[in-house]
Amino acid sequence: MGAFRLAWKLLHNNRGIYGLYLIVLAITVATCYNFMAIQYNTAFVQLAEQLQSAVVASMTCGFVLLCTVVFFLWHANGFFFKQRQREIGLYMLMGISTSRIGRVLAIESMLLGGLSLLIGLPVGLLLSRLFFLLLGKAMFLEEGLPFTLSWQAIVQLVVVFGALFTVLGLKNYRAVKRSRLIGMLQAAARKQAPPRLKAGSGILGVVLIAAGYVIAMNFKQWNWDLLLASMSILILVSLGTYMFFGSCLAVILSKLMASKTFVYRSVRLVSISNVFFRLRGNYRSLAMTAILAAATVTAFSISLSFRGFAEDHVIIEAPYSLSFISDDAQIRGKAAEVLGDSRYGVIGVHENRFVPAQVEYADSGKRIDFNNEAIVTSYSEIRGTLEFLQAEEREHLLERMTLRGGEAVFILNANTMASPINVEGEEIRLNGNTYAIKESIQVPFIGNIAAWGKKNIYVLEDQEYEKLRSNGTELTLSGIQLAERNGYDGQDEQEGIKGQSEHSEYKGMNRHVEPKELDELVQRMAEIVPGGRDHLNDYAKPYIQEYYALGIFFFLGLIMSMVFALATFSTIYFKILSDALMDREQYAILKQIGMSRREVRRSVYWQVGIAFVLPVIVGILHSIFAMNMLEEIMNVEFAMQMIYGVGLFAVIMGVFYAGISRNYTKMVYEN
Amino acid sequence: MNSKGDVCMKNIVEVSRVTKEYGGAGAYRALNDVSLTIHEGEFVGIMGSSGSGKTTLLHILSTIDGATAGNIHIDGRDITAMKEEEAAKFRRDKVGFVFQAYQLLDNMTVRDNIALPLSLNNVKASVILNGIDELTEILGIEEQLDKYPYELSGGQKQRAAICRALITSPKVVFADEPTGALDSKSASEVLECLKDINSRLGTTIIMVTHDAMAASYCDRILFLKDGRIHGEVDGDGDKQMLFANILNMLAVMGGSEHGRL
Repeated sequence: MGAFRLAWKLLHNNRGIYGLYLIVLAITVATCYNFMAIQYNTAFVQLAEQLQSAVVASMTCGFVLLCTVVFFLWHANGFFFKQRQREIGLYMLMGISTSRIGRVLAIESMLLGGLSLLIGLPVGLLLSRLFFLLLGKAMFLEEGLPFTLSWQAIVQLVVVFGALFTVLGLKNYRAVKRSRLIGMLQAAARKQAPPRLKAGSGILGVVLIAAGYVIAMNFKQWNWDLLLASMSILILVSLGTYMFFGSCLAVILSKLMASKTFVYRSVRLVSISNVFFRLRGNYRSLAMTAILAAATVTAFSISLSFRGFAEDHVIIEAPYSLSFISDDAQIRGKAAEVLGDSRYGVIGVHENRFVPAQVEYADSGKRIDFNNEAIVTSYSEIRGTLEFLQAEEREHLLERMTLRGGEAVFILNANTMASPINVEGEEIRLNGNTYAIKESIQVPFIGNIAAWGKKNIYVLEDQEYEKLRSNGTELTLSGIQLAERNGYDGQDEQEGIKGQSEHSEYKGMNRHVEPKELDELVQRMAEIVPGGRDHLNDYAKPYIQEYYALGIFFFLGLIMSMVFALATFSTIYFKILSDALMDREQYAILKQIGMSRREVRRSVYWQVGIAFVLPVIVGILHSIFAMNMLEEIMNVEFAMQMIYGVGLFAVIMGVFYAGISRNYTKMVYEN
Repeated sequence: MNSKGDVCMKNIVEVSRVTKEYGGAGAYRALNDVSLTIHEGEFVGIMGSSGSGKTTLLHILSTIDGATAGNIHIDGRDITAMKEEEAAKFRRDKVGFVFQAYQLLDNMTVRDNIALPLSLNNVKASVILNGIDELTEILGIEEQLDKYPYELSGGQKQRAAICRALITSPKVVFADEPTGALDSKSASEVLECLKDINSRLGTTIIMVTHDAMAASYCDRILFLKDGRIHGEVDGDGDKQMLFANILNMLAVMGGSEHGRL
């Protein structure tokens, strides 16, 4: 029989143990394809370029995804190799040369890779079809996003996976070629030594993690570049996590083992010594589990947040159904006529007054405003706007913005979605006076109107604003809230409410118009208002652009979190089951010296718990800091999304933990 | 402390008409209608060739395996009627084990290995540690307590295993070929230890072996052949004499050379 056919036959014979692995591989390939295909999608690339934080997020995701795949393959390959050592030993006993067995194994590994691509790619294509369909639907696109077959992505995928499986095949070949028969036959009986205790690197690990956390909390105050900050945090925390599990945990467990009053109690001795002794071989997968758990929770919470954030941000970009800038009473009159003719009824009008001004920072290094151009307004204006919009938590927001004479509040312009700009405590010079910036915030004011929306807003105390107004030209933005006539009869208000209003933070003023249907009216208004589109802002444009740009990230984030969750589960699953294989002998001894099934189960729950709960807790901690960082960048609070993300993850992990512990107990006790 | 001539010795193990079949009824009978009695404080050897049923008997006596028919009482309790949970507790508290392959846990120090059965019972750590100190002194491994099993010689490992078997002050210690993996010097050291334990602590020991030299340390030897008790040899304190009698018995049973079956 040729080596190729032999390899195929062996794979077929071992399909029981490879079945699950193949499924996981195929799903991995399918998801990788989707991820890559999206990155080659031109529409996506354009959107991604507008948001620096999104680019950083997707780069980080891609990096972690690649590490995950490599790590998982490496791990699973080791697990299967260990399982089959005795089988390989038997072939050697029968007189087959190691190079031949090695060749067969190498071919087997490549067959496995080929098979996973063969199954995974069509699944991936099917998924991406579904994905584009959903995305198109979510974006209210008439004809949907075109489904394109991305050859680049396929080629890239085949190259990456082909290389990975070739390396694994070569690794197996070398391992067999170098092996001795006795080592293969006695594979399970190989002796392990306890982990070395390196307190120094244990402490260093904790210090590195802490350093990462400190940067995550302070990078804004320190004016670090976002990419630099996030990359250094990623490296510090990953490295620290490895050291924590490699050294710090070993030291802690050895201290526990030395405390006989603690350890000589119930099943503690068995479970703690098992974890301690295995640490040398296991710390990598513990650390990886922690990092994957962090990635899962972060990706999931971020995608939830993006969704909520997009909805909130639309109000900031377009506080009104329609708004325009003009002080001319004639034009306002014409506008009212146009509105009167349309199918919409006006349910509210609010005027926002502001003055364009030059703002200079006392710290000349600060470059916040382009050409120092900014908008200045008064506290009362902001108060009036928030009250008109019935913004949620406006009392709290207004309290934060309360000012005295020499103070100012910085409101980030509506065009910027997320920025790590930090100006609190800075001094600015404005119209010959100096003001200290008391607060940095983002609230709806004039929206992202083309001519003015990119400028940041400085809020002054009313009398200070009066002084400025008297020598500057004040502008007025008329904000109009519309509702469809037939839906708005004052009684049956719910009928008229459409869109995403129930998710909105600013619940008070609901949107009563379909963004798409507003288009025609906007056209007509643009003809009246001087400056046309530049001085006109409507609800439709940002709504479609922003909401669905982030919609993509929402989908992407969900996909990423599913990949990470899958990787976390499979890493833990294969690791713990391979531990169980090695533990069989040990638990057989324990059974003989009188450990009951219940005690074995308790010991397994403890043992798996330490190897499971600890990384998950560390991972959740990491993700909380990552989310905190995101909150800093976006100037919002994601507490609810974080609680959802962490809670859901914890529940799923809990179920998984119970299941795997049961399996484990079965494997070690019933034999 | 335990006089072997005592007439009112308690029966610690009573086996009546035990049969063990494998592979369904009548397929293969490993033990066939075996009855025997062992007194408290006795050091009994069980000899027989491979497949004679001696290991099966030991497993059934120690609740590791169940009998197909018959009753076994140990320390007055019927172990054949025990449920699994109860049997595990019984094994831990009333019985000690010494195996050919030591069966020490690789990932614990010698001290922790010995402490294990008592710590499962939630005995106070100080009590456990005192017990370990006393026992390891008797067995001469007090220097090795903080080493891992892989750092010990075979003889030291077996003595550590004996300590673990004795830490719960069991009624009976079952030894399954305890010297099977040892060189002759370590083997006699271990056997001396068992003998010492038997006479100093009065622990009943039941040892399976196919080595006549090892068996000559016992008070009494039962011979198994094809699942039945084939004969018995009593010692009267003279080891040389007992050794000769054992060889004689093995020769009678047939197929013996050089004192091994």
